Amino acid sequence: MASTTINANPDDIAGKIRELIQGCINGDRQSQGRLYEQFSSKMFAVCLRYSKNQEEAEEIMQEGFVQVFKSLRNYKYAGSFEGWIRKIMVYCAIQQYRSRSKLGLIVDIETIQTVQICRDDILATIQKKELLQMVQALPPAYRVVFNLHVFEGMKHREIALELGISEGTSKSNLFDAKQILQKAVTNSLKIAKSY
Amino acid sequence: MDENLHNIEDLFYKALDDNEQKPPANSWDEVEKRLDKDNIISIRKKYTSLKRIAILLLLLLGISLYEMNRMQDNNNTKNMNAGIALQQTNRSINQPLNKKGKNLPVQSIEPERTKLNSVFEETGTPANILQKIHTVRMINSETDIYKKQSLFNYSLSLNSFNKIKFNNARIADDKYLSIHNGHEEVLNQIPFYESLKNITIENVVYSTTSINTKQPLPFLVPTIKTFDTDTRNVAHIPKKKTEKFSGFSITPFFSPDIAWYRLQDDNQSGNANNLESGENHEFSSTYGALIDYTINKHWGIQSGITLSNTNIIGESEIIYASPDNTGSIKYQVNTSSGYGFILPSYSSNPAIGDSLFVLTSTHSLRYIGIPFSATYRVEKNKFIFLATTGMSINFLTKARIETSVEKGTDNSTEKINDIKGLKEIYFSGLAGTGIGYELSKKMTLLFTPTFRFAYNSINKNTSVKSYPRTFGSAISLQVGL
Repeated sequence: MASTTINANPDDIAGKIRELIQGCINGDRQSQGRLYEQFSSKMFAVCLRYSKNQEEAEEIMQEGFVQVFKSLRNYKYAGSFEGWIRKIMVYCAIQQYRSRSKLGLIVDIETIQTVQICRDDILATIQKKELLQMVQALPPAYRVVFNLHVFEGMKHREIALELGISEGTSKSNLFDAKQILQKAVTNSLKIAKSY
Repeated sequence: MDENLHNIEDLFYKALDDNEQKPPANSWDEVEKRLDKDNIISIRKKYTSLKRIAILLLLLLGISLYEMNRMQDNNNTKNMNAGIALQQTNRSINQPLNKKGKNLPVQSIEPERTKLNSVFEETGTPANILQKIHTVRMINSETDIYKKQSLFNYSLSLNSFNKIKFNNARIADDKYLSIHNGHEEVLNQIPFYESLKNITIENVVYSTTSINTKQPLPFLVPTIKTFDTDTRNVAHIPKKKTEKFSGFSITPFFSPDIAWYRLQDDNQSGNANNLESGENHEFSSTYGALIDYTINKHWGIQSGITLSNTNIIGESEIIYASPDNTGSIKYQVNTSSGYGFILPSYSSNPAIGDSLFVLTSTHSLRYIGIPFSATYRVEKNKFIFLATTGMSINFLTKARIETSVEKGTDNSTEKINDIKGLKEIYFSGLAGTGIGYELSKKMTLLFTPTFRFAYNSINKNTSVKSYPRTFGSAISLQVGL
């Protein structure tokens, strides 16, 4: 597949994306490939956050792009096209979450040690990849709530509605998720300092 | 602690929100495979309808060809038999009995086909000489064998009038085909039988192409039976038993339909294409009862009542909240037939633009129709071939949308019993053909493929106009009243 990048002013980009979309609607495989190439990296990163590993993220992204191509005719050219694709990816991730584990969760967070965190320091010390792994290591129920709240900006009421849980559960899951992540970051920093 | 947790959110958001990671190279191949698979399924669905139509047409063509061959064979056989009959004498199954139950003497006049043909040849070959010959009966005749020569020579003139009764006799000439059925004529140009009183002619077809109209009409008959003068009672001669019908018949029918919409986009927004590709027509059917009135042998009119059901399934999509007619904010479901608003029971007040993922949406329409049509029918033996054309006025009786939306880890079904943007009435045309088999004098089994198409759209105040079309294969039973 030929790699193409759209480098132009915003109007040109919008025009080219519109052209790409029209091609995709007409079933032009080349246009579909170009659109995939354009957005796959960003969307794969989104899917990775909702998954426990790369394979699961691939599944979500593939399903997401199939849905994108099928739903393109419904795109009204209102708002960001990338945001529209991302929304579909998130829906697919939620769908995946629903179809998978519904297991209960027992997490021991009593032993979590906290340290005062300075973000810039951490980012300088811990790789993004490591942070992503921490998110992926979260239990699915925590991970999905954490993602929806932190990255999609959803309120607990909306998350509860989306996932079919109570607002209290959503808040609780988010709190626990953050504690786990904090612990993981602390541990990571300790290891980094010991070297 | 809380501050730390907040920092955690911030930390992860800054680090991962705009993150990019290239997916594995083979990931696009998998997407392509999925798209190809979906295309194949879509093409299969599209061609399934075409296959059904093709099978039906082939079936009809096959039946028609078979029937045509069979009828041609029958005609050939009859003509051959007629030729043989010409050489035979003489007893008829219709030979009358005297009071003692014995056969009365019957004289049979053999028609001289060869001779007659030669007569024609002398005056030029007619276009249509003879298609069918059945029976000519002369009753109360004092004819003798030698006089039959005169019948075919038709150059003699007689002194008295003779009554001739025609049954299903057809006379063809260059300009027209005249049918003489059940009436009696006085022809003084055949009266070479002085005592001839009645002639009944059935299914005689002959041409006057090369006949001088001043000459007596030529007759070509395979068997002429002359009865003894004592046999005056015409009642002895079996007549075709004819049942009298009122002319009305009732036809209950059921027709599984292949249905589709012709969509017309009023403002070229592309919505029609979107709807067309996002929806699939499921099983549809039409059923009801029709009343037929037979005007004459071929023509009839038809009306009655029909009920049609159409079911259309929409693919998964994201729908958005917008104000409904009362100003309430609800999620709007758009379909090719119209639109409706849903507000899932678990959903609190959505804001304009909020979205909801719909797994499937099925909408169904039901119409009661009153058709008015004309039928043309041709009967061959026990088979009936017919063609129908007409129109129908259709009244909307039910419109419903059923959606399946996500509700947490389960799905929730939302129903709308009011589709907006639908007209209460629309008009449609219909055209069909058919074949039937006469089970008895009053009952006929019919198979009638019919194409129905809307004259006007079923929508109002919508940008996309829908014109329903169906192709149905009705099975029906016509019962004479």
